Amino acid sequence: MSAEAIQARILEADLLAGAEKNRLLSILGELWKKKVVFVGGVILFSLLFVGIFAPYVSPYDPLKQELNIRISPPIWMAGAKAGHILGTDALGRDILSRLIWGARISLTVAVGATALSIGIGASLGLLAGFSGRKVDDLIMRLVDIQLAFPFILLAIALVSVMGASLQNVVIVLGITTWATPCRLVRAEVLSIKEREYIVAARASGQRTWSILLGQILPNAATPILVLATFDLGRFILSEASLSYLGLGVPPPTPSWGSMVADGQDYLSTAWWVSTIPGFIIMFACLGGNLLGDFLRDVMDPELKE
Amino acid sequence: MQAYIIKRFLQGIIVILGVSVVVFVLIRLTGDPVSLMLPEDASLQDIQRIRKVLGLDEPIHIQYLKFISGAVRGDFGMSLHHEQPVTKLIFERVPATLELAGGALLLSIFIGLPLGVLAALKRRTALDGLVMLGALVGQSAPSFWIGIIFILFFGVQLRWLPVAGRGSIQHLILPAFTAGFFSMALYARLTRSTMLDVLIQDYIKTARAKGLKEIWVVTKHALRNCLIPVVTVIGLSIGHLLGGIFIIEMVFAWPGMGRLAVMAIYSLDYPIVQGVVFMVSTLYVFINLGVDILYAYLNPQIRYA
Repeated sequence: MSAEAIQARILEADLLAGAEKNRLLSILGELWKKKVVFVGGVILFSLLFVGIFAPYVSPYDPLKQELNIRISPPIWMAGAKAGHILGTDALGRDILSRLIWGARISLTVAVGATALSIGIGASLGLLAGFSGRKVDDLIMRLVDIQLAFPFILLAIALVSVMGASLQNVVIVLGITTWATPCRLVRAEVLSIKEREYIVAARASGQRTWSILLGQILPNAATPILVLATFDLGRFILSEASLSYLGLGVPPPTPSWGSMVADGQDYLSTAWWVSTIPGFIIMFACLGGNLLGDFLRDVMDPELKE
Repeated sequence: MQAYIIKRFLQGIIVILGVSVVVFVLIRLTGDPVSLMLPEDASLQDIQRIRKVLGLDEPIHIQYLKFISGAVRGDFGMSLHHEQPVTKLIFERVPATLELAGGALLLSIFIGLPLGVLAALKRRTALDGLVMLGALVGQSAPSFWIGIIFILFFGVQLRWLPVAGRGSIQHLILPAFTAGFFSMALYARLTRSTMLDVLIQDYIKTARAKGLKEIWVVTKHALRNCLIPVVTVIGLSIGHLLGGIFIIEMVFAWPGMGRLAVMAIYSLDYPIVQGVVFMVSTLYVFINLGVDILYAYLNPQIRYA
């Protein structure tokens, strides 16, 4: 089992503690919660905004090299170059502009991988839950096999074979993480497939696929939404890890992870080149986690079933 | 119990066979791996020679049988780059990786668990908030960035600890702390929520009502009962820890298996990649098997599920 599986167990444990938590929630706590969610939402939506409108909000071309102002510090430090708010990297490229364009890559990968992972997982989960024993067993063994790989190791190996490109990173992240949504949806299907309204729908002659899509999938939508929110943050992190290792979107395309790696050589003289992009990665992932935590708490009763 | 162990063991074997198929197919995914390994101007003789060495001139099912029979005997062929057996190269680096993983695990348990207990006991105080904030950051921050921050503070600024290589216990501290950071956050969060769940149970009220000192209530009654889920998650997260170590070894130039594999990817040394992925995944399956059996032993209800 992998990080997702652990996350799922924590989800369970949190849910168990949920009853107690809600009772203790003071008004202050409630406000604090909302503020936290607000922060998470603001982080994700500002990244989304910046990513979509990168050509308009980015002060410079992220690829433009100005070798005479290499490694200039951020604006609040001595020796900063006017106009370069977060300084420049080893090739004299504006760090802020690269971060803004990097948001585009990060979000594209995160959204694409989340959609792919949940798309595959949910389909297989529906199939496993609704088909007979044999299909169910087969799919669950596939889940076991997928969970038997340390996720990042499998992703590294796959990208190295398929070649590093935006498309391949999305595909690799998607096909190495479908097991968790698959188990989630399967459990949901199993818990409701004997209910009266499903039996009634069957008895009235509805086709299986229309029951699956019309009755069962909407019931599984809530936990899927929570998972998807967490996934956004996790995939931002995974993309950054891959590009840190040089296995993400190839240079010179700006990507947060590779910016950290590039800056690491200059750590002793120019800390900002490497640490600022890392901070942004943490921030983006935090946004997903905060929003996910909130959605999970709000949807407690549904999730508990 | 015996039947359960046998069943889980057989499932584990099936999973490992599945893993071996994935690893095998992975390397052949893009068609002829030889074309990736050699420069574009390689002569036909060279290509033929490499194909022969790798056994790629044989039918696919024979190739797989050779791979799996070699794998169970611990033979993954020769490295293309090092001109040495892959198994030898891997085993030379196993101690370094185990040292790092062991150090990270110990640190994360002995820091994460007490922090979680403390946060639960002092819930809704500044301390609780601080620990949970730290845990949230720990789960959101990319490990390589945490490592870089540590290097910056303890290596570059304070010059307290070495930042690269392996040797003394001082060399181990920063990499182990970085590798264990995510798990630490995980254990702290889980321990806290499990502890909160346990603390409202009737037997805790009884223990308090009979006048038992709070310290004994916590250590003898509460902590013991929250250990089962925590131990399970610790077991499960060992695999995740192993995966994360691949990146940490790159950050700190730690001479372990992960660095070997990532460097092998850079030099297109596929036998090494294949060997490491197979070995780590197998290890992973056995760790999970061990955890499941231990869990079934600790919690009899599971056996009949």
